[in-house]
Amino acid sequence: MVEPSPDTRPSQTDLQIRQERYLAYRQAHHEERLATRRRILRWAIRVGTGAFSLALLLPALALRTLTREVQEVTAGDTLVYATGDQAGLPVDIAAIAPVMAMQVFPQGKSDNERNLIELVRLAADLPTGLVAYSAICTHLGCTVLPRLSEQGYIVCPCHASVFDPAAAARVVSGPANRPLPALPIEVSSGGVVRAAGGFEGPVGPA
Amino acid sequence: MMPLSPTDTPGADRLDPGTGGPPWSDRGRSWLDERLGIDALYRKYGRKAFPVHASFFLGEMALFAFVILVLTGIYLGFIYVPSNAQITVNGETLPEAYASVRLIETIPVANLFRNTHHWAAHLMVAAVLLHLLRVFFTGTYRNPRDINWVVGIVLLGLTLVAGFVGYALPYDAYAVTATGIGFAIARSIPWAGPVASELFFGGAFPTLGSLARLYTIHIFIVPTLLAIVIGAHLLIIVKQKHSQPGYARPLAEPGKVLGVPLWPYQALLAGELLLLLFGALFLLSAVLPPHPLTAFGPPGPGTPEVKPDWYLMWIFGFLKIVPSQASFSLFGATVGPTFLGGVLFPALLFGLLTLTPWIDRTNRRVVRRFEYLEPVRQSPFRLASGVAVLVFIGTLFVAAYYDTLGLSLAQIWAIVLVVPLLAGLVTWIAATRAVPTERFDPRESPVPVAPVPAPVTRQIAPAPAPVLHGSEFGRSMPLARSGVGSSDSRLPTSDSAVAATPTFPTLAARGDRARDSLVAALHEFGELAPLVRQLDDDEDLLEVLAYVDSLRLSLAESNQVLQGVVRGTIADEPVPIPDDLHGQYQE
Repeated sequence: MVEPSPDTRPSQTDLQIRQERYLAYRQAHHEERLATRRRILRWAIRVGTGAFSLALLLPALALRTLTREVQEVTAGDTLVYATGDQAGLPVDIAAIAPVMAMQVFPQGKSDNERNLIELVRLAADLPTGLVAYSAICTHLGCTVLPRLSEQGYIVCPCHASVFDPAAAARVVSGPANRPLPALPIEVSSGGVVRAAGGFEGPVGPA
Repeated sequence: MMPLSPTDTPGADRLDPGTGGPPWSDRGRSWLDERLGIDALYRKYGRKAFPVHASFFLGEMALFAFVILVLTGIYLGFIYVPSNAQITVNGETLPEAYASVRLIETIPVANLFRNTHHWAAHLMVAAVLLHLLRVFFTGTYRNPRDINWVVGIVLLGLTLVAGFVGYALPYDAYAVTATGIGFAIARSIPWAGPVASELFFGGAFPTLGSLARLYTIHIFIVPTLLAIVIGAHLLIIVKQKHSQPGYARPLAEPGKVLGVPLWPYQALLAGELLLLLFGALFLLSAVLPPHPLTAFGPPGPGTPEVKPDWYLMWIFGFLKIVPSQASFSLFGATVGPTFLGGVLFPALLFGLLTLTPWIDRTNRRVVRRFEYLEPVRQSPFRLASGVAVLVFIGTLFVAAYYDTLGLSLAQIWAIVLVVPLLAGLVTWIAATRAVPTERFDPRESPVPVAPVPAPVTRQIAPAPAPVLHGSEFGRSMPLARSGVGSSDSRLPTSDSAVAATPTFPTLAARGDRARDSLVAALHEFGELAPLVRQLDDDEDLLEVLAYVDSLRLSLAESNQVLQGVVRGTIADEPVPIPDDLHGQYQE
């Protein structure tokens, strides 16, 4: 007679008891489990929303614009009248009497409006009596007036910034906080005015 | 306006056409109602009461100006080309945008719409500002409308942005100069400058892509935001109900608004206003073109002597007088005069405006909310500070012209700083002397005293009886045939049948009313008990105690009436109706 080996498997009753215990455990911790689940979900929603919002910045920062290729003023550019009947023709030095100002462009580079130059004849003797500055106001980028004020200053019509052409275009009054950048020029024996380099500082508002 | 008997329409809860039914036929109504339940919607929102007061049309004007802007703007969008590339038209080389606006000017109706668009922009800004002033000076920005005040400030900001962004589109010399200044201001923001200038202007101005950015912002982004925020503004009004002019206080019950219903009276008034505005703007546009292209011409190397429109002049003026030395470095970024004048200063002013409800120390809610317009003279400090800010803005207009007026920078600074303070001080002194001896309480009424006399309309000739009564979402009653009508509209039994035969409240109705008031007052006492226990602040406590006092009177009177009705010691007599007041309605 062989002893039947003891049945190590849990009896049906045991199973039932275990299952009931498990269910009771679940029951007891039901609220807690739900709270944990809710907490996790809440954080998932927060993190998800935050990450999504941040991701929206990417396309915003990736925006680019079509730009034209523009030419800067360089040494050797002949200065030409910017406006008037003679626009595009080389400046005639004989026609600029002291003290007066006019606006000129480097020849062939007038499509870049930031190349506009304020040419000022301060005195008769050349070349020291002739100075040139950027005509773009350093305050907010307006074009300064193409003439001198009664006191001999360069004036911006937008916010009344005033610059002194006889003193390296320093700010006399108004909200601009930088002088107009100067442009070195040379006058050839034939009376042609040329740029002797680029602007000596950033053009327009920094 | 023959009232239908309830049997004429399917369903006893049908609307009474005599009170102005919804704008569709009976047959169409039942067809729609079966599918969409539209009558319920109408009953809920079509009866919203609108107070009748001239100053309450300012916000509506702003809304209609926006509608006109959208309509004319869509038309212009069909012709306009948002590009500043140079093209040759009739032998002239011009920016495409400029050429397209010139084309608009050659088509008479398009030209009319362009001018109307421009004038409507002025009108919208003006209406928004006047609306804001009305709300400010009458103190209705206080609880619970502080939230809608903030929404309104957002609307003001968006309106100004929409106006400014629109400057660039015609691409004439003026447009390029003004937008170039805006670009330089955006660039001046520390750290965020490059990103802001790229987002809004295309990284440089003028550059080929600038108009694409500004155009999208002008025709899509800002109008969409405006539409959404206007929607929020209106939803909040519907939810909170209108604030009311002071004359409504003795007439309106707690939580109710005295006025005309949305349909048909307010809708008629609004429609009239819209058409009037359209007509006025068309006339103005035909007679005075606000910004013809020829005024400034295509962009050239020079800068025309430009000033911005009046609504941005204060920023312009401030930019002009801000000293150039006002510049410092902060964590590697430069904070310069342009940022201070063009960004920080307007932001500060807007911040101050936004915070107004919280700066105002009277804006506390202990028991009752602010529901009525406060007489302007009653609050000298508010009046004086408002006047000071307005005069300050006015002096910045002077600052915008200080060089042409021959003033020095020091002189204009003195004017900007001193004149507003003086104006405020003078106003304050004058107003404190004129404070009315009897103070008007702008907060909601306590529980009503029973019995409330029935509503009455002053007869306005053959017009259908303007209806009223305070119940915002309740039924309007046609009163009228005898010139004196009344019914207790708040009782569930008072439907069209009662309306057809106006009577004074019956004894039973008065008993019911008294009982309602008594119950309401008792509940209110219960809710006040914890406040009385907890409040530490003396001022708050006093306010609650005063309120308790007024409730006590209401309670005693309702109690007396109810006792009288129950004991049968009150005769079933009409309630005497006081003479007409200053409004259209009296109760």
